[in-house]
Amino acid sequence: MKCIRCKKKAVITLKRHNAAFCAECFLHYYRNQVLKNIQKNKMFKKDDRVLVVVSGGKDSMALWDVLAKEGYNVTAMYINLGIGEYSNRSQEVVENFAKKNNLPLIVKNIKEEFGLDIYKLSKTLKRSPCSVCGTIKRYLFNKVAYDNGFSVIATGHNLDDEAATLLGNILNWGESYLARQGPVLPQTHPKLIKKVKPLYTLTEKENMYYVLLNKIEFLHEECPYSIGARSILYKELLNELEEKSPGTKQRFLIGFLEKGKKHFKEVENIELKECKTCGHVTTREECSFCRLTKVSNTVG
Amino acid sequence: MTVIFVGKNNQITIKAPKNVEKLAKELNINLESHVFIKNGEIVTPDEILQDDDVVEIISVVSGG
Repeated sequence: MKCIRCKKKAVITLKRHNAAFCAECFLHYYRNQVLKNIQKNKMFKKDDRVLVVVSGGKDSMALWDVLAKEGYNVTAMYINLGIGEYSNRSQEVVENFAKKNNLPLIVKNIKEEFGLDIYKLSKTLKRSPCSVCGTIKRYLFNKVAYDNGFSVIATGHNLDDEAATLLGNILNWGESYLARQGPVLPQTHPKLIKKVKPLYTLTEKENMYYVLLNKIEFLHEECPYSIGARSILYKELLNELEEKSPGTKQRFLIGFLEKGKKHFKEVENIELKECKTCGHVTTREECSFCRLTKVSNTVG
Repeated sequence: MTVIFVGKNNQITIKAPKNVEKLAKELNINLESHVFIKNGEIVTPDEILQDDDVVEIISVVSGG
């Protein structure tokens, strides 16, 4: 099999594009996809201060690397979620990359700084660990971005993540989630920072190729709390379809964004307030993060 | 060939020659969600694998 761009021996095939690439031409394709996504969706410009959220996994490491190499003004943010050795190893991966490439990094530790324990909170509140974790992460990304004057938050969500989320939202007919889903979550309040997903058209497999070809260290192991997560089931089902009908995931997501999304409206007009404890944006008197902190202080 | 499932602490021996696509089918592995590496190099589904090759299979699916 030959590279469709330079005719050298191909190492990667992308069936949904009916393409095969050598390593060099794949990286050219990957960079072009990211830059096209940023420009087409007006995500950010070279003079924006971008906070890149990193976990140490392949997707966020690929995003951090490609944005830094393309000359964007990026600072990474890592949250140690206190999930034993998994968190320690991922922090090490992220810190090593920042040091090796001389890139700025902000590290937060939810146990040490806020006394939060995801496992205990999920048991006490009878919520899944992923739901508790998501609340904490979303709050801290936004707080750090707002407090430090970042204009945009970039995450490593990929095509598989977005297609799986879309499938989940459709199976549950989550109208307000469907109305909001997209590569850009605009700023709807001065304290809510814009969020973007520059990798939304690239698959997990393409992100894996990117980190392997660039010899970027990443944490391959999964968060122990994500075992059995429904998002993984949706991804596996979508990959079954993709293998038999290449392009399904992209058609599903892009078709929704271009043709389906407009039919969904926010179910209710949500009034945004400022949390009575921390001042950050919430729909209630006190934000979910401050409520979690209080529960944590109560149960110890 | 030696087949290593990266991150799963599992290694098996499979009879060669066969290409990556056939190996994936034999192991019931989805090509869309796995990367195949032969002797340290990423390979395409049509790559022929021989008895003395070491093949690493990496799952790309992450979740949570």
